[in-house]
Amino acid sequence: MLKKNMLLCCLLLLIVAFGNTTFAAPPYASILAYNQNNGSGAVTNMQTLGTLDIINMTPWDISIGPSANTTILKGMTAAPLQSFWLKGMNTPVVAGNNQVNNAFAYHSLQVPLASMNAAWVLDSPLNSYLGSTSYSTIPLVFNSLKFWSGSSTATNTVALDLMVTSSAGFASQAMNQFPATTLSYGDGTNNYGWESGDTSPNNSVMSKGVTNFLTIQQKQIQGTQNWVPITNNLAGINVQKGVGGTTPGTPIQCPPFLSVSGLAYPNFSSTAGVTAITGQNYDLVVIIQSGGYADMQLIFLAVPTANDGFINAAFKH
Amino acid sequence: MSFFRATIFALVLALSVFSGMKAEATAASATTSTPIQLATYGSLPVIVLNLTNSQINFDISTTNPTYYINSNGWGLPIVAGLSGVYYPKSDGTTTTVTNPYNQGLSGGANLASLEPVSGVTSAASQLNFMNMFTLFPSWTGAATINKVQYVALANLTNQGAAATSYNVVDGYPDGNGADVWKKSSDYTSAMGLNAAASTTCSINMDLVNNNVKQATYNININSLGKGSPNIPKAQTTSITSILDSILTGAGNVITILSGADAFDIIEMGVGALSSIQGIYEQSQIDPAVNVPAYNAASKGITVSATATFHDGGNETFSLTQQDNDSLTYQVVPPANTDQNFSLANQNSVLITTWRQCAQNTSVTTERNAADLLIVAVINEAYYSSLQLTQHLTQTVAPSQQKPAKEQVQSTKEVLGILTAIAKQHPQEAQYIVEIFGVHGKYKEIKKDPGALKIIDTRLKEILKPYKNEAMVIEQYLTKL
Repeated sequence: MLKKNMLLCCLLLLIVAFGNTTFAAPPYASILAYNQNNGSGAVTNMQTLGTLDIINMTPWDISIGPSANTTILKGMTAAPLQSFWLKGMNTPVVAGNNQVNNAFAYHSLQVPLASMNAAWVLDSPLNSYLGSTSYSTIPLVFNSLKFWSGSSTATNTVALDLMVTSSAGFASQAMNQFPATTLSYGDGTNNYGWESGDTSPNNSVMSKGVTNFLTIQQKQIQGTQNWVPITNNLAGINVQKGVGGTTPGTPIQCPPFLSVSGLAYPNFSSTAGVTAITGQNYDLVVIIQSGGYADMQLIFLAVPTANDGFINAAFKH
Repeated sequence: MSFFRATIFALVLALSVFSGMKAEATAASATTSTPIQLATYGSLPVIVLNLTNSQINFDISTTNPTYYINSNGWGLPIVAGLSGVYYPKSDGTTTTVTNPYNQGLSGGANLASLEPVSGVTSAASQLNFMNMFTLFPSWTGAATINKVQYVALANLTNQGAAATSYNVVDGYPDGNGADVWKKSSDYTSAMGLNAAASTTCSINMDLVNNNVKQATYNININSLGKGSPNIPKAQTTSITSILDSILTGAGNVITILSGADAFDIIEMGVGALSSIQGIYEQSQIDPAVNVPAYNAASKGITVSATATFHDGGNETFSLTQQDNDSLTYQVVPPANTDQNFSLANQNSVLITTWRQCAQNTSVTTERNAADLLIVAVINEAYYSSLQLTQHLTQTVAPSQQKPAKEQVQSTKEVLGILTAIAKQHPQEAQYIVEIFGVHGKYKEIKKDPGALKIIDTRLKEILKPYKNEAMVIEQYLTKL
């Protein structure tokens, strides 16, 4: 009897504990990379060019993809793309690899994209949306040439997931025309998003509504340090008082620009054991951006920790 | 493993010949009919090098600051990298970009944005003559995203960009997506980045001697806005010769680093020089002319340069080479070189961009690297001293390689002598620059024994008075 009561007591405690737990998504930053419908049906919000640039201006090697020789972002790219890596800018060669060349080509890549007139058919379908919607996820591993499969336990690496989401009508299917909620940015505790009528077909008219998003989200950290959103210092934030929800009056973080965002990993040079200039520490900054008459871009930067205006407004010049 | 090309260059100490006259600025521009064309839109990686014996301070400017600054005062950065993050002020300019070796100190302390390359005298020296950063040069009037509601979320799980399960903590101006069609108070608007209009972002480089600005070189990145042409393939390319000049100008640094245990020097400056070396080698095998045309829904981005002179020297800024990939500008001294014109101000500005298919990674030719813009300011006297020292050394002992330390000392002495010659016999100094400078004929002449003999005859007369001031000159004159 005593044993039974103790078990019941433990179960009750567990229920109470989990009932009060708020599940927060790992830190993320997400952007609108392309939208075909500006509310009038046929005109795009941004005349985004059909290229994704991935540029490494850091001292750290970056692996992009789950494992070697794996096709990634299928449906998004104009020609098959396999997992690849970008060399850090510190050293030009990898010993024993006769495919390496010293040209900047191994620090950046331009990927031609499939047509944006129809939603890309990515590998994970989402079924709750008015138009065909799917996404793909690939890991980005920093300070590694071994991809996620070879680096997941390495203590001198960190990782993000890069997610591409493509929809022919980003609206809640159940409510027909209501725009779906999309991510904006989150720090692991506070999560923000937005929704726009421009992402859904206009009223009952099944006009074009292709919408593409790029998202980066924390996948691996070292110790207890999280990736940090940099939206505050990247195009800025307007803070408005909320007017409806479970807690009315909450300050809402409203990034004025929906097509640029980013995350930073503070002092990554110490974690990696690799720095850009001897004796100086650097933050790893990852920016995702897209724009009219511009490419979609995934940019990796090294910014001095003592002088990083992305994290600390005091260091904005 | 040797990362760098074997050279027999030496390092030079800067000795600025400075008139001390304060003069009004004179602007000079050299128009291009074939400016550099870029095929990367949204950001631009840049490597900038100071291959002179003067300091260079630089800032970044835009002709459209309002598109970078939001109502809170801060907005979009225009440059970010090893020096930090910079935003344009209301006048369109940033503060002076600090030297990458001087972080955490307000205003960059005592280092200029780019210190002279002549300050690299050993493997322990800081490579503070160069910088790497990313520009965001093209933003203009924002695109509009309509009928937007912002929300704070709790208990969020997501799949890709989609918030799948969540609670709406609160919303602005409304948290209910159903209301977004109802009335204007239930929605607001947001913005997207846009490069539809034309704008110019400039790297403004001030050449400084003894804390006095001598000249300003403006590297102008012209985003031309929306349009419909394609970016054509380069029909000719001079990138190989451009990079050869840059590597020659950095030759002393390369020699020093090659002499050290290169595996002990793992940092960005080494990597950048190695990248330039690698691009140079690659350009000889597989020139940029083979890269296919880039089809863009944009008029494109071009690069050109202008200059303003502050030294009263009546020099001009001449465009000497141009194609789709590279531009070379030369500061041309006044015809009458008895005027107070300093050799320290006689520079060339070399600009080039490189993009190339990543080798062995795709069977298609569609994939490309992003543009990398390389900007180098090279001093003619400094460059001439490197080349002249090579000539003197090779005349004395054609097969012998001098240790790095002796090379540094030799070219330091040669530059000092060249500077003295410029004071007393400016025409003779200009003769040396014409042969051994960035635009000189030495690289061709050194293959021609007959032409070398003519040069040696003239050099013998010019250098004779300085026989006792440099060992390498004494040895050269003895050999002749």
